[in-house]
Amino acid sequence: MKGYTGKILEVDLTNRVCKETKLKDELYEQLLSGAGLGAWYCYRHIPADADPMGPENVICLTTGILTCTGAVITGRWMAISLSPATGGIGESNAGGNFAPGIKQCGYDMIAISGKADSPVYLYCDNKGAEIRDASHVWGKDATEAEDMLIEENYKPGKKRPVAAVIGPGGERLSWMAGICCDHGRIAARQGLGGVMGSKNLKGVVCAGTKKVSGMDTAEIKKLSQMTARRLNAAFMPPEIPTGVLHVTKILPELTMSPDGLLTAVLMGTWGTSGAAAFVGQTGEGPIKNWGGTQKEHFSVRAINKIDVPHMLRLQTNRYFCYSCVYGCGGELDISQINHNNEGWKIMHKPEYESQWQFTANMLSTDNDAMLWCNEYLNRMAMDTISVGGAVAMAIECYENGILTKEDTGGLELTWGNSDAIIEFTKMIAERRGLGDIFADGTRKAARILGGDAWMYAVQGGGMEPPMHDSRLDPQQATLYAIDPTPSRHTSGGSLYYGCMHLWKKVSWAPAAALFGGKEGEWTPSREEALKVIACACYKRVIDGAGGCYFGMITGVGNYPVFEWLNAATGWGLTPDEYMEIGKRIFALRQMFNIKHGKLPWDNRPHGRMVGDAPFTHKVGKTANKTVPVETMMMETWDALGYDRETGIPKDETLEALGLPYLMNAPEEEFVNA
Amino acid sequence: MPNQIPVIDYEKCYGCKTCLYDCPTNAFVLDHKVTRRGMLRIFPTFTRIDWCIGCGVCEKDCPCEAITMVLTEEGKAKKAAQEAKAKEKAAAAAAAPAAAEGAAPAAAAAAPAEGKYAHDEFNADEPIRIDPNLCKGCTACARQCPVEAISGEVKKPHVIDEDTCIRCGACYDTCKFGAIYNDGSIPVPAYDPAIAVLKV
Repeated sequence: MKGYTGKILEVDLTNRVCKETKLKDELYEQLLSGAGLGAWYCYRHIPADADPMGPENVICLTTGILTCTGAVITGRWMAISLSPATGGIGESNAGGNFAPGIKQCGYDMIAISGKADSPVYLYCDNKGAEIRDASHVWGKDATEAEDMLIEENYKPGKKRPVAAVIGPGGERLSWMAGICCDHGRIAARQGLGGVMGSKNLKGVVCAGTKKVSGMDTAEIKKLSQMTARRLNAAFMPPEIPTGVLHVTKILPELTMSPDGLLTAVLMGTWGTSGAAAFVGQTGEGPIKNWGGTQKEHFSVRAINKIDVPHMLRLQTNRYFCYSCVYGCGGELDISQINHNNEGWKIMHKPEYESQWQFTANMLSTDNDAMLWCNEYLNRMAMDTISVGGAVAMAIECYENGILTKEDTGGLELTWGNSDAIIEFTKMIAERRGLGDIFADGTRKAARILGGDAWMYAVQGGGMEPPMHDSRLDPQQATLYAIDPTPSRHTSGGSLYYGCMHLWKKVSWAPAAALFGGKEGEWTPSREEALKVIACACYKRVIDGAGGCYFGMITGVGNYPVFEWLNAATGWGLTPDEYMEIGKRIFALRQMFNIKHGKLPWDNRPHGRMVGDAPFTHKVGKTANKTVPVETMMMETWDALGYDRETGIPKDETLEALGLPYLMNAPEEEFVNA
Repeated sequence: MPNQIPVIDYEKCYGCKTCLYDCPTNAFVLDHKVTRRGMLRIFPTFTRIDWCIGCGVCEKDCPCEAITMVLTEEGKAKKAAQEAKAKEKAAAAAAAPAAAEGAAPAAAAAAPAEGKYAHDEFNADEPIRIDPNLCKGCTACARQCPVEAISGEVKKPHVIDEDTCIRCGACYDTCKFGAIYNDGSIPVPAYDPAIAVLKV
């Protein structure tokens, strides 16, 4: 076995039929597994005029080549579909414990089409797959539903099943709903939980025990042990206060390329929410719905009230996803926090995105309210980034008179009013009152509200941006814009590029200086474009391998994805050749968007994300920082071999990548009889 | 009681939970608490010995080689019995090499299959197969298989699904007819199938 199983499960919910299909090796050699395979399948099987919430849409749940081969930090799974929020390819990514479940049933991917006539769930094990009644779990929150589905399918002494489920958010067809496993590890973005809800599919339960391996397990394990040793050697005692991050205040002026092990130090000690102190110094965290500044609206004193020590005080233990060796997660005892009328006990430590969105971006210093919202949205299985963006927009609309108390049902949606923030979050999840207008994201809400509401609908391509201010990182701004799934910080950025050290293995990736002035990044150039492309292509390789972003940013020397892939598959490809596969996957996703009528310019970010007038800041780290994002988009498209003006891949680029064949050849070409 | 059970070396374990999620019988729990570098970690621990089938999947899958399969008392006893039997056979063959040619298969055929523990002989790197000429379709192996990899009708030769098979050796231990093999060669039957007693 070469890491991939060579088999997918195709499920037709309308006719309640499950079919196993074997795929040829050549397909994996061209597109890897994971997000590459998912993009290929979705391109070919979703009709151009399909309604994202209709039966013709397909949702693929997929794993990467390296999952279950002995490569560490490769336990990611992905959901790929046509996104209702963006109108283009929707792709979300999660860790937890679900990825090995899919693979151990013998599948690289489960592709689900149609719509069941009543609530169902999919059960898979060694014998195959079955569509089962889910009416008894429909309406349950994601934590309860997952527990119930696992218990009813578990026999003591047999394999304990794993499950990925939607919550009430997805059942109510929210475009901000995700798919959840392990009580809060969520494939949250792009509204793919809503897609599952539109199919009446509550979840997928996997209980298989099939063996999975790469070709050279000894080599894979040797590399894994090197990675584990290095990442665990990069250590900092947790007593060290986050104040050490004061040194990072120079970052907006400075570009650097430290050893990516530094990120492992921060993640392993604090988790991603340690970044709050970091961005407090660099100014990277957006304030007041991207309209404010730290200097004016959310000082370091305020940040100290929501900083990670408040979480670590509640942390009962660290949490590790499947196959992860350094563990950025944690579990918190929230039984004593304010607002917890539900009696919740343990929850996953919030990620930085959730933490910052529900505090600084709404000018709230109520740490407990942020914790409550995080657990609530885990149970609703909804995206904290997008829901938070919608709440922040609603607050700003209220503060500017676009929404009145009558609209809000009496709620005073003001900055920092944590009770109102909690209540409005519930209204969105329940689609109650004004919440219904915001339940499908800021872009749709702006269209409904009309007038000046668009000024406060901070999004790019229909997707609310994460808490990384792209005014300070032009490479990231460009990636927000040119990735066919827009507004994703996990596409890359300048600091991530600096940590990954791709130039050590990829011949065309420009080297970043160890330390250097950052001003050059605001000037469009072929060099900046190549860095953006290198991030984008490498991320696609990671997604095809099932790797984790946090493994990726420790650097190519510490997280040997190219070497692992060769050991698993025996392909013997060079890093450049893997990056070519990454380019192919990237272009295929772009072609998916074009097929579905979503043109590349649609992903152009909101003015606040790039500092356009009148949104240019006057003070603070982001003062006078404007990213010439349109020029950078065109420069990057040109460097990719796409049309400079439109972003559409040129015919010769598609030919060189072998895409016309992959996109259009008959099914028999790819299927093993 | 399984023939072998896993022992985790926590000096090598990084807590990635591969063993916990790959185990076909849910024999691990997250229970081993340790403070590492000032923070509480909870590692997998092997507790459910009653459910363990000694398949060794945990040992094989652990990326950090922190798990070693160790013989239990039962496993040691079986191994000792087998080694003793092998010694006897070798001594008998050395004493009468010419006579052994004709008689050995009959002698071997008369020897009971009990105590057949194959840990040393069993090669988990080779696929496990059923010889249809020897298989009586008694279904004993199928009932033992922890992952339901064996299928077949009663009194008809059974087959093993190689993709599902985790090579735990449970069928190999169970089969009274020596019909299960995994070294690429057809086995010499442990006893004459014509006089074998079918245990259901």
